[in-house]
Amino acid sequence: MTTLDKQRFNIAITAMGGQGGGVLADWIVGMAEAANWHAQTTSVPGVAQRTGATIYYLELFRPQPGDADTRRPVLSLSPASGDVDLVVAAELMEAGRAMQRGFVTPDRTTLIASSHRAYAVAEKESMGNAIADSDSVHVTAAEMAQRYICFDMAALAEQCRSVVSAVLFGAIHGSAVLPFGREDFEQAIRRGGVGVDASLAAFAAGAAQAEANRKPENPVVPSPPAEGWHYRGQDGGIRQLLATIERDFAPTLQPLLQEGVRRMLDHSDLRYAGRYIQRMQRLEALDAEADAGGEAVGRCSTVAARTLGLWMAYEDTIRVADIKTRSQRFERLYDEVGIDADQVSHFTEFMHPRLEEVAETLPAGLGRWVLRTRWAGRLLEVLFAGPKKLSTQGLCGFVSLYLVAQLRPLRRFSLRDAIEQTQIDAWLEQLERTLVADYDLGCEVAALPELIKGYSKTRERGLRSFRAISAAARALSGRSDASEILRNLKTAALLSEEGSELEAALQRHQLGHLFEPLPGKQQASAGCASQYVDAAAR
Amino acid sequence: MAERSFKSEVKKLHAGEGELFHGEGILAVTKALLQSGVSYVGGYQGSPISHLMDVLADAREEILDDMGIHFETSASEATAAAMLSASVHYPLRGAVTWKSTVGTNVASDALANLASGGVTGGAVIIIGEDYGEGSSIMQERTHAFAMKSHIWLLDPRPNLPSIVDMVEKSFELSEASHTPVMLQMRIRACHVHGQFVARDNRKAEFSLQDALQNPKRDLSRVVLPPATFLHEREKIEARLPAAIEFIKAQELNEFFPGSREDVGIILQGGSYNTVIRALEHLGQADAYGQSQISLYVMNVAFPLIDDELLRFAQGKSAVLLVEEGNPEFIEHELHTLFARAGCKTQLQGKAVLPRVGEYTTDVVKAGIRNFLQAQTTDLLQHETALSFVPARSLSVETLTDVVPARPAGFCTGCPERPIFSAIKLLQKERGDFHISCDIGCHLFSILPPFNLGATTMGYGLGSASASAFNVSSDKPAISIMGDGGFWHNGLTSGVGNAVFNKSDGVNLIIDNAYTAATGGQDILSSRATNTNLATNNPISRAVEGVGVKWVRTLTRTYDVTAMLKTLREAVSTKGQGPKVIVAQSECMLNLQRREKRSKRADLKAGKRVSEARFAIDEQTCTGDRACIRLSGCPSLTVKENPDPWRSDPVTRIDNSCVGCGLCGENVHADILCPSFVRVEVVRNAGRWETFRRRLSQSVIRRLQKRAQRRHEIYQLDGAA
Repeated sequence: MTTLDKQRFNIAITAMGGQGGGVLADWIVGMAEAANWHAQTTSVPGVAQRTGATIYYLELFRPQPGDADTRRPVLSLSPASGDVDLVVAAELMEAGRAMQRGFVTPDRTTLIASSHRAYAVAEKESMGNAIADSDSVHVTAAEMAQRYICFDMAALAEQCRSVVSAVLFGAIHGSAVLPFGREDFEQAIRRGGVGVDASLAAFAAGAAQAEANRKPENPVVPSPPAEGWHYRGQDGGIRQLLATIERDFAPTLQPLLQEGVRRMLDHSDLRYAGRYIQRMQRLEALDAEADAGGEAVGRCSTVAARTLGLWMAYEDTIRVADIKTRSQRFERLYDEVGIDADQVSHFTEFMHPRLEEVAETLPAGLGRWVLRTRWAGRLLEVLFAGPKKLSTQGLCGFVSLYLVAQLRPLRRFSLRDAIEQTQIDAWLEQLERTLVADYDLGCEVAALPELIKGYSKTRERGLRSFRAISAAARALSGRSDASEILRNLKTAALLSEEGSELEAALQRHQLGHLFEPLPGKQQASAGCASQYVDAAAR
Repeated sequence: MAERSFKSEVKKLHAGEGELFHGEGILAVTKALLQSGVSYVGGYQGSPISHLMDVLADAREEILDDMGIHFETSASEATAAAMLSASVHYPLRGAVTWKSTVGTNVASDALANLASGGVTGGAVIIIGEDYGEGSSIMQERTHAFAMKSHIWLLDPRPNLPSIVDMVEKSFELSEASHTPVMLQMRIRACHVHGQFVARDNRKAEFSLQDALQNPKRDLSRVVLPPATFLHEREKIEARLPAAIEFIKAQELNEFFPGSREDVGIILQGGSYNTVIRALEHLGQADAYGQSQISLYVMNVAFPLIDDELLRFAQGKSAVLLVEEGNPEFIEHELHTLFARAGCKTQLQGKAVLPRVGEYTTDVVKAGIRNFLQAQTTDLLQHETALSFVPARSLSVETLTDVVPARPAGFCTGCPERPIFSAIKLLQKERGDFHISCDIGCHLFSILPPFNLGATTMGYGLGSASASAFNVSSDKPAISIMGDGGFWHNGLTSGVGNAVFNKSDGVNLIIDNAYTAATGGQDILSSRATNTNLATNNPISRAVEGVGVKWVRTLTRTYDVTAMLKTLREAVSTKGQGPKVIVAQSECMLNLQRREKRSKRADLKAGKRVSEARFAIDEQTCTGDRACIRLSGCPSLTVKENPDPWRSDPVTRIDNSCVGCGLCGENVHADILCPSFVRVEVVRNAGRWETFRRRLSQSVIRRLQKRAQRRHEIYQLDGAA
């Protein structure tokens, strides 16, 4: 335990711009000076005045008898490793950084940190998942800090309609690390004079939570995998399909497939859900055969149930219009901005359908004809394509999207469906062949559709990587390290939009020719057209 | 108007004799200037002395005008330095301030001229030494300028009484030695909060009006041969001895005797607190600075006072010199001094301390320990590890791969971001360009997610630094300059130069109506009205004035499509001289501050207030994050994918969104996904608007219920 009667308290606060680190430092100094302590604070904002992290450093010195005017303590302007009593981090990774800098030591430092995350650009911009591991920080903090107090102070602040600094100030009080009473703390807030009531509420909440929770928050348990879908409705067709799942599939697979059926129903209809199950039946049969050795049951099918389901529930114009007009979505948006349905508000949707997306909504033959026929394409482009702003709370905007969503039963005749089903079948065919020859490689191929994400150009970029790696899988078939190479190729594909890393990785295995160059502005339409020709030829 | 207001703090500047003054370092400096009887103050803002300029600007009406002090925001550091020429012939005290070494670089022409002829009235330069942690510039020392031009350099101990005292003394020193004086404030000292006992403010006896009424000239003070040869001699033979005499008489440097006779430490005033803390950790000093080791604290870093130094070294077997930064000018001079004087004391400096980098407590502690272990037979001999230095556990090492770097970036809703989104899109179409950058917020373009820009050569030099690429190419160089840099010198050094040399390059001038990076100060082209300054002078007119034929002004940077179109046109237009694009939108920080206030008032008055922010449909977002790579907005962030079947995080917009509209513009310009929606909330809506809403909502709800029926068949007890 920190000795409360010590002479000097050294405090480091790390916060990002806008978190109120300066206000917190001022409160602490004000509190100490009101008690006739010597107090000093300084900060290093630099360019961090914008969005980087700022460190505030404070020293509070208890007045000693005989100090009078002759002796003044010499206070340091920067924290030294091993010489900090209290580290306050307004964000979790900043707590990690404070530990890296040696400010947190087991013999004396109390570490108070908010467990919420403000993600850094490097974490956000990645094409895959680059989010830093919070648990490592918790583990290190438990080891390095004398006491570690950590909870989501940003959420608490939001509940109190205040800022995180007030909750942190409360947590400092709750941690009982400074020899000042509650009244001293609250008085410091009152003297500040701005947003006093909200700050006091947040302070109280922070103090209570810190008192209750002087141990690290239990690491967030990842949400359990989808439980599956327990249908209790009376629709005969659905019941029959679910019975098929129970009859034909391993129990471990069943929840996944039930969830898949729900997704197909949500996306299209029962017929489509049936198609999903049929595809899975073929695959599982092969899987069981190939995996006769019997490691994890149906590893490949488990992966494919998910990737096939996601692919089959592709996001076309109909799907987007459907989601955008649902009442649950409206509720979620109201909730997000903190209003209710009766308050006047406007939703403006930003969309940019290209001619391709418009044509794909048409019946396959007509859609292909439009794409082939310059004047028809031009006409459709002028009528429907291009940057659109739609007001979905206005009648005109809502009804037009609603009507597009009503095209759902006709989706299976659309050009988009023809293209997707052709590609899915090609992938399944390759998967089935690979599975028999090289099980591990098959599992990799099963996961490949994860690369196909997004819309229009983004989706094309994903498809390009998918095609290149699928081709690589064919070429590598028979090699013992094929599955490992495929895994590396997939990682490389997620490194940049241009795909230069993927190209380099392919070249390392003499597969560079499989990489289609990114269509330039001029070739873009030609590239797309070939995709339709492909689809037509099959 | 600047980002931070000191309106309430400047009231403290009236404090009189004996009053206790609480405040930040820069506020203390302002008070010290008033106590010194200055007649004029100028400078150019930049961290760490931006707030000094802001305090002065806010103090103008409160106190400066009444005291007859002229304050101006100089056009550049060169302007500020030249301003000091008012003290050449007249007994006028003046002070200027800037960020160093960058500001000193800009000012050095005027400074060298000022230092050559010398001054009559006290001329002081408050230097914000931007070195070490938190610095935003190249790591150099202002010390070199002090030495080369013979300007005395004060480096006071970083506590408010010492700083205030030294500011006052610097004017006296300047007058006693007819030499300008620099007073150096390190980053933390500028922001340190402390207290000191005030003295009365002093009004100058000789005013600027007096000077204008009785103009003086003295040819021997003008920098022109043969006077220049006289000046050089004067510096060494008259001014230096006078300065040394003053410094000694006033005891500007401090001796802190300790119980040890054999060793001592020589240090610059600015390092004092750090050295004391290091000694305390090593058990050689107490919390009040009482040290067993003798200290000689140089509050004057240049010139050195030879006999004080020799006196300190006398009888000691070794002294340690704590001198931050490189080259180690003081150490070199001390070695020369000891050698010439036959002093046998061993001098150690960079031999035990690092040659580069900030001298933090940890660094100084290690240096002092090594010094004492080697130079004494009894101190710290058995110390194997430093006390206070924790053993780093393995788990701390693992954080290296976990904790992400957090470089500074554009603020939420920054109007500069869309400009770089447009350049990124241009590069997607045409391949990469050579882009030369400048100093200012816009330099954040060099960082992810934009990764744009190859060089930055100095404030206002963005366009000038592309001047070599004045050759025929289908991909001309693109140079970027902010409005701050443009007015600082870019108009002549960059745009004028490009016109004159018939360059075909593209000059992008970012006009956010403030020098935003330094804290939102007004400039010539600011759109706000400012009673003290002449604003509203458009950049486009200035560039046309120097002969630019191709000028495009875009008044809404958020229009990415228009920006992209203009850029396309600029890079493909040939033979018309430099192409200048002025991209205008107000700095979001300033805009928000203004709007928040007026919205609050409107809301209270019952007027219609609408607020917009963006949101994302997590069901349609597939987690590719192309949007983030094109924006990097702090409010555009990520969260775990709500769909357990997908592993990659989805994009999310948090509550800090200010609804600038860039997300929507990017969706349109780059054909991104359809997940973005702008939600506008209207408060105090009118009757007609409320009626229309009710009407449309009733229809929408009916349709939604109809659609819901389809989902009901399978949503009974569904998991999701």
